[in-house]
Amino acid sequence: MTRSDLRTRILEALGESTTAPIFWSSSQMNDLIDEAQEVLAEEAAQIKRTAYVPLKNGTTYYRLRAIDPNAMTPYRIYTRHNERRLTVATVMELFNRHQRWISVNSDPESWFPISWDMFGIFPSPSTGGGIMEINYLSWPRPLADDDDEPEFPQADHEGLVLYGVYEGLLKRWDITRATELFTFFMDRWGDSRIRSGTDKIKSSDFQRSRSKVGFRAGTTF
Amino acid sequence: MGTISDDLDKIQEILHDSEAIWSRTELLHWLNDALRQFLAESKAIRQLYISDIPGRYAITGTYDWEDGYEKAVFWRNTHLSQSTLHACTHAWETEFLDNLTPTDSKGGITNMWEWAYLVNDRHYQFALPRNHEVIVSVAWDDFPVHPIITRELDESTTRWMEQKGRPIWWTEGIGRNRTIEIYEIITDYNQQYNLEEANNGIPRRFTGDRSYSAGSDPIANFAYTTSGDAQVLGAPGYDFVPLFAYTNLADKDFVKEPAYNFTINYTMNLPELDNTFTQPWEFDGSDGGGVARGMWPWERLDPAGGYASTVDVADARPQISEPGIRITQAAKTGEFCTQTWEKNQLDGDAIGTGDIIGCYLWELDFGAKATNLAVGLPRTIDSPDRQYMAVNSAVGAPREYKSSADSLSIWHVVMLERELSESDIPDMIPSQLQKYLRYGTLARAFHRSGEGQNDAMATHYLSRFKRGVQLFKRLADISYRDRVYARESMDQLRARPPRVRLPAEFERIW
Repeated sequence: MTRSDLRTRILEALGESTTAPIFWSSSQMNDLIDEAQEVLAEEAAQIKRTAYVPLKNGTTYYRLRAIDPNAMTPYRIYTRHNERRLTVATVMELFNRHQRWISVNSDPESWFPISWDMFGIFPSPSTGGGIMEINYLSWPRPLADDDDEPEFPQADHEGLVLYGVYEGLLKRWDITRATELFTFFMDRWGDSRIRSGTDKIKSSDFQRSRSKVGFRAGTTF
Repeated sequence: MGTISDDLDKIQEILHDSEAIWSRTELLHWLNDALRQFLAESKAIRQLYISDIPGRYAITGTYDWEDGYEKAVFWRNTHLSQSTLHACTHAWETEFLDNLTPTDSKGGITNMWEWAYLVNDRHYQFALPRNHEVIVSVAWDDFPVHPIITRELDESTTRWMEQKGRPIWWTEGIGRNRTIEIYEIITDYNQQYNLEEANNGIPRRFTGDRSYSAGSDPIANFAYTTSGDAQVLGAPGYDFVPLFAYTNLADKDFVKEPAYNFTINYTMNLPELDNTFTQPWEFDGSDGGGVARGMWPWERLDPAGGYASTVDVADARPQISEPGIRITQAAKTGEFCTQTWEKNQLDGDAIGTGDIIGCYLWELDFGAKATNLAVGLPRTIDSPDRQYMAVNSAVGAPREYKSSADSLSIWHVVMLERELSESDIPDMIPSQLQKYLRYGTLARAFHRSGEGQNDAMATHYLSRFKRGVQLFKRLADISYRDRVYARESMDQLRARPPRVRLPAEFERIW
């Protein structure tokens, strides 16, 4: 569905005129559709992006928002020059492996979280060069015009309509029906997750510890 | 990202109220409350704080009432004694005031940095910033410093707060809120960057053991001697020769300014879809004749008319305006002096010595007098050896510089530093999560007693707000999607081994 279709569907469901709505302006309705996209992306984790970031010597920390202001969270970091997927660690794990881990220089092997928009790599490279491929979940971009279509699969477009109607009912303070519609909207998240493949990955998350896997040569512990 | 004012407009739409029931001030307070709750519960915003050793307090005082005059963490440099009647500098004064024979005691200090010069009996404490919420990790000189409770230190050794050595543990200690102590302590005075001439405002240049150089290419390609020069140079006709020419607006992001667009642009809705033409006939599909087109403004001087002025986009040739480097200084009488001694002469002051005056930054390498950065302030700092990060962007420009070497580095969860106003943007959180602040505000508004109260709406909006908090909490661990969960801990937590606990009936031997 295009943005125009989505807007029409929402207004029809709310009993409003599709051409000259009284309680909603077009821009408000467009904002609502963008907001619906955001909520669906947050819950269904469907929007994926890839960014290339050059590895700089002496640089440990990277800001996610500097890579993409729509970035939500990375799910894979891969260094292309040595074809290695970085493993996830925590700062405490790094301290336990090397007392002064920040001074270790070599090809990156791990990445670790710092804040919601910042992560670090370990070890940091001593010479610049090489590309870090960051795969991340993202919020969708706002729809550009009435002919623009959401990036979500077609089957999820109705979910956006449900959210729009739900917000419309909330504006009328019709909480009973709004809650009902929000439940329908939430029911869609599960299907969306499966379509995006994130639940398929989830099934293999729980496995035996890999704590005995050490870092490779070139790193002092 | 919208302003708080935009959010309040949307909230009023939902409330169907134009300040008859809920004033905007009231809604603004609630939105700030919602933001504080959002940050506190998610613990998603973490910043690095580095403290010089010994620690620094923004304010120290003799009496508690002095705390009311400063919002930073307060340190009382006197001992409170005899039900607040007295403030004592030395511990022996307490005994003296009660007519007891004083015991020898150590010196009193008024600031924590005096630890470097005086043996004293105060706890070695570090004050944390006003926006501090929770500590995530602590390191000294990039070595880990682990948490411990004060009771364990008390039971381990005597006078632990004075034990000198490498810091291994940090504890909440006995100080006020937003202070910590470390064990063991280092009392050597160590200040990473000293702000000299702080009355001149923000630092312009750096000196130290490391090598620093200021780069400003391609800005400030000229030097001038009087303020009048700057005005003339900024006038039309005194143009920079662009470094690049480009054919599409999209290219503009990839070339170095100043650059010049020499094509005709047919702009559609999206800049990246621009069609670009170099000839008018391409634009309208006609078969009209072409004109010679140049890439640089100076080509207009070409007798063949190389430069065509038929571009449809604004002629945005960058003119020489600011910034440049003024190499002179004005005397009181209005003259412009190249040398300081000239100014001294004209001002009637004692005549100083001369300097080698440079016009450009590169001349610093050849003995020219140090000149301020051309762009006024450093914008970025790069090094092949280490990373320089802007830690707190809320202050607009760097106020201080820190290094983790020989210092205490603390990653901590932070909060709002001040109440946001309507014109502010809540940029501590991603713009996509700003909607949850509206939900938090609406929950509070609908929950307020009196006219407009609607508990069902309040409960619903509160659940939406809470869902946003949970989402942000999850995003705070930005590696959660890639982490391989294990049945056992990946690593043993470094911690003190458990103490021997004897049963209550164990025989006591005195």
